[in-house]
Amino acid sequence: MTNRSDERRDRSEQRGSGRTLQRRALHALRKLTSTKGGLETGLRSARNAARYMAGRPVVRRDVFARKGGRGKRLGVFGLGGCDVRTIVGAGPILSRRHEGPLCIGSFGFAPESRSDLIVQTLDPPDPDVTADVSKELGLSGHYFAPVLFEESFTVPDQIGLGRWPKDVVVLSISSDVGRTVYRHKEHGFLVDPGGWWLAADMTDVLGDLSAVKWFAANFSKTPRISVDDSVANFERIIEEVRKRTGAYVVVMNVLTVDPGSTALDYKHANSPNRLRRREFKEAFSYLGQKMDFPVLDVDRLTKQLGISGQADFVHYTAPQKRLISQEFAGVLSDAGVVEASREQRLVRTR
Amino acid sequence: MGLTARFFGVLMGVVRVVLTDSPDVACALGATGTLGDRLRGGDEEAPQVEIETVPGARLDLLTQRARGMDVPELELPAGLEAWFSANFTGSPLAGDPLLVVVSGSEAITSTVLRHRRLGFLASEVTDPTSEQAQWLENEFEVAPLDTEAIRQAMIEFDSLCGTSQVEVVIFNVSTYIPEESPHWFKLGQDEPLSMLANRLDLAIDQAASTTRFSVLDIDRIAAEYGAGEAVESPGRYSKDACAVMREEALNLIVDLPEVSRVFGRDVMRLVVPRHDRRTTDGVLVEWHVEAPCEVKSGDDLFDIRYENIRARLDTSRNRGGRALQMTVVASRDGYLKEVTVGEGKEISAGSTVGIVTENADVGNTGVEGAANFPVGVRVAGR
Repeated sequence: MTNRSDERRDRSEQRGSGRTLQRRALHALRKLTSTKGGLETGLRSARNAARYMAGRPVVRRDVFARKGGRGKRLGVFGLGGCDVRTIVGAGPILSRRHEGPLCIGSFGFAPESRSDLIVQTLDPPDPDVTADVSKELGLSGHYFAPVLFEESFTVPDQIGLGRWPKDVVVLSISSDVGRTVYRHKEHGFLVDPGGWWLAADMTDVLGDLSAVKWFAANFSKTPRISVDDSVANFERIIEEVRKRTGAYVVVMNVLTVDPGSTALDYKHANSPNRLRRREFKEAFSYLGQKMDFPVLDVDRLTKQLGISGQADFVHYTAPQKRLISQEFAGVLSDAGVVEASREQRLVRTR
Repeated sequence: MGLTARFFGVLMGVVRVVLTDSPDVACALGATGTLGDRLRGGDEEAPQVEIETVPGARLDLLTQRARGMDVPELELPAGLEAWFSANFTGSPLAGDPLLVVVSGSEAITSTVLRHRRLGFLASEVTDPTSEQAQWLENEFEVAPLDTEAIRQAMIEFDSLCGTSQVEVVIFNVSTYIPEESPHWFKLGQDEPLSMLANRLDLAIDQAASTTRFSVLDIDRIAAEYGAGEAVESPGRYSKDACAVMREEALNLIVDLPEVSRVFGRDVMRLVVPRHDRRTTDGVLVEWHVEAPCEVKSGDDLFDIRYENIRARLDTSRNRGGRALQMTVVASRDGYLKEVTVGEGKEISAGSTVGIVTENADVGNTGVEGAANFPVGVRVAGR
């Protein structure tokens, strides 16, 4: 003889085992169909490749979203490369601290986020002039658009999430530290075509060298951005972001040393990277002080955990990402950006 | 004069090495015999190594001691005579050493005083009596850490070495400071120590690029180890981290050209440096010099190209990669005797691609166990 609670438990267990089977089947399907790191990644890569081949913009984004909750909608907008994506990991932590709906999105990638390219979007070049270049280089549709300075954001390909306010804007100095941009010889606008195909063997990438010849004929390389120019650009960007969106701005720095480097004597190497990164770290610490924004000290956090698992200065290991996310969540909590419910505040107090 | 003292020292079979007693230097190199054994490399005919320890100090104060200025005449309270004269004596350059090892960390761990009227520097007095404290208060003020002054001190220290071929190694400092979360500080607040450390390391790097100083990158070594565990307090490191620092310090020191020459290793290997952890196997694209020939400090030597470097170490998520090309640059003068790897051949980090000697007259025998010719790297397109 069974009572009603036993029946409920049985049904619940059946549902549970059904869900477990479902999860296992999905996991197996992912393993079977994935080429590099899961079905989702595989599909995304295929979609991006198809878009690139068709000359259409590639959408790059990582998003954490929670639609529920009664409080204020909180939107966090990051623009940058691989390092900026670590902020999405703060989603689960902030969910426990913020009462209302929450969306953390990291958009774009390193070649879109050098400060002079962002400043350029404030006074974008003529679309008639840039259309051919965008198509030829596979630049994203918003490459020359002032996306960063818009008041709100949506998540491409995510129907139903709606628009989110830009309560927080996250930027990084990594592109200024490491990226090179090219200037159009006739019209003067800047592009960073992505780097990977320029650095790779052109015959492997293109089959023929006509695209390279076209690029060389139309663009000239610019020198690395100086620390002073970078600081001036960021000053302007942060002022404009605050004026147009009212967002709270956070800037991430980068690891200053080269993991695994055995080049002990770096003398006479032209502007060694270590020196450059230290100069950037120094300059942005003072800019943060001057303009009253926090610098998320990725340099300190990565060093604290150890960099022996790191491949380079801008790609972080899983434990490092976790620590950076935690620190980022702490920065937003300290700044009073998140709005906790009474219960959440009590849990935190305990 | 200095060179002569060293010359006679070598003739007598003795060379001098000076270490400061700073905690990081002592921890890495202070163990009896470690440095001497490594320098001599088991060669019984190699010169004996005489190690002298001098008190560590902030670099501007250490430079003042190296300057060998006359001791100013002041009326001192009783008990301060030894402390006072120690600020002007005990030059690390006395006796023409082959190698001097100093610490940059003293800059953030010690307090330096400046005489209000005469401007000279002095170390802090531990546990002064009330009379001494009053006198110190009247005569001295605290000389705050000025990284520009440290940079200038390094340049002056270099010039004080004169024509002597002394090698100077400086330990920089870990920028990780325990218990400090310095990502944001407001105007008017004290500057976090970690920012001071970063500025100090920057000044050391900048000065090293124009002087004879070679930097042991403690900041990187502690970070590789995990600074959270390696750094006990500013300038003090755990025992295990010190063991790693010791190994890197010894590798750096035996490769220093003057050390190599004195210990009979005037043949050096030109090896492929590792730029970072991604750059393991590549192709030697092009030689910029044609052996045999003289190479000058700053000359481009050869280009390496790494295909398909991984963006991550995690191979299960290896997404393929991009190529990286870099130029290897000579950091010292030398004579490229021969190249052992031609253009288009595969090479790996640490492999030998050529033989460099002090000058054209030296034979290229005895490459086994030879030191590495110091080089730097420059990444193409940056």
